[in-house]
Amino acid sequence: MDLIGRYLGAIARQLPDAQKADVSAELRDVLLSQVEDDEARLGRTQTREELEALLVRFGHPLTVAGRYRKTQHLIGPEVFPFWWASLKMSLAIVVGVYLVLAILVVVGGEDAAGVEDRTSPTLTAALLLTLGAVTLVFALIERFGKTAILNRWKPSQLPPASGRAVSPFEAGIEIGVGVVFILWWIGFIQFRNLLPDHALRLDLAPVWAVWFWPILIFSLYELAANLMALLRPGQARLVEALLAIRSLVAAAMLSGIYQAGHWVVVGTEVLPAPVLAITQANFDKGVAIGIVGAIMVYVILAGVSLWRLRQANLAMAAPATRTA
Amino acid sequence: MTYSKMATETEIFEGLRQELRRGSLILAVLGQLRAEHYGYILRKALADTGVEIDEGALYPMLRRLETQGLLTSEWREEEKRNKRFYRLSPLGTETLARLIVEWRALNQSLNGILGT
Repeated sequence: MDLIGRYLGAIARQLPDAQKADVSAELRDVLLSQVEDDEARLGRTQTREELEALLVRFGHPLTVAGRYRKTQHLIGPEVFPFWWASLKMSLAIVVGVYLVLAILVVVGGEDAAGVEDRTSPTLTAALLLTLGAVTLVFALIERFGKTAILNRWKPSQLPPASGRAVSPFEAGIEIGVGVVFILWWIGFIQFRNLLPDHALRLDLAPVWAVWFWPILIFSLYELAANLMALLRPGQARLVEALLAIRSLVAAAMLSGIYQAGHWVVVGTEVLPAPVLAITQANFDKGVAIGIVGAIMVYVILAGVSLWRLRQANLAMAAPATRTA
Repeated sequence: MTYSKMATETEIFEGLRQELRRGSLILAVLGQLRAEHYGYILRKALADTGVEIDEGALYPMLRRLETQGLLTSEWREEEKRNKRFYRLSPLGTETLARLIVEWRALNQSLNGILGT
């Protein structure tokens, strides 16, 4: 009978103190009754092997004790789809941020190692941390029975049936670019000189210092708009409006920055002054072309967003059954 | 038919059978506890009527139903051992009556669908 004692002890160790004695006493009676029945049927004392088989049939101590717990699972079937969708989205954002940083490190080679130094924790640790954090949030929702908050939704919040949905990975990359840019802009990460052999040094011209706060506020706004697009795909009109404003503001800011006429400061210790002047002019010309190109792109994007906004408004105005 | 395909079909059937039985087991336990029983005898009584239930699942279920106020229990000595006797509480009796109505309505609907 020492096997029954060990078995009950193993179960009791997994139970809350208040339940231990009561559950053990009941299970002891059940097991002894079963043994007595078996012995009466066999007409002899049960062997140790037969008793072991009976206990195995009864169930693993962890399984039996687990059935007495209020919580039977970490993430149940009701919460699982929400946990899974949130996990995919969160991991995509983390991968997006790290991918952008990795590309910068690859492009910059050793010179961009400064980026790598600042990106602790590693990607693996960040992914595990994200997995843990998302799981913890949903396990708490499951544990405290707050699943109703997950089911508060309206069909009108769903993304439009037509049109291509932005994948979490694409959104993750966009958000990653935004995060890396902001971190660089506020000086949290630095990219060292990427030009070969350090023949030239490039620094930002004073115009960028003048535009520091507008650009920072604009970048945070853009990040928020991208997050909104990812988290609230059903708010198509709001997202398009945010993107239209983003594109128009970007075009206006770039037009202002363009007025400066001088955007990078080229420094060198090896080139003679006349060559440096030509190099400086060429760099500024390149940046000027880039700024004009970016203004054009932003104007086109603003037009596309405004057109989509108009289409969405027309769809909203149509009868519900026709827009379904 | 390959062995693995047969195994899969058996597993599917077994899964569906378990799902089908899960809800009705509570009904069977509540129904059986209109008369007082202790766990071991309750399980035997259910088995005698063709309702098999795992021991590892029955006792936690009895505790849960008691926590929900559907059963009452008391420890009493019988056959020289302390045993925990369960029976329906007034709330359990009322709930069982409502569940029986549900069960009969569902059964009738299913009979109509299945043509039995």
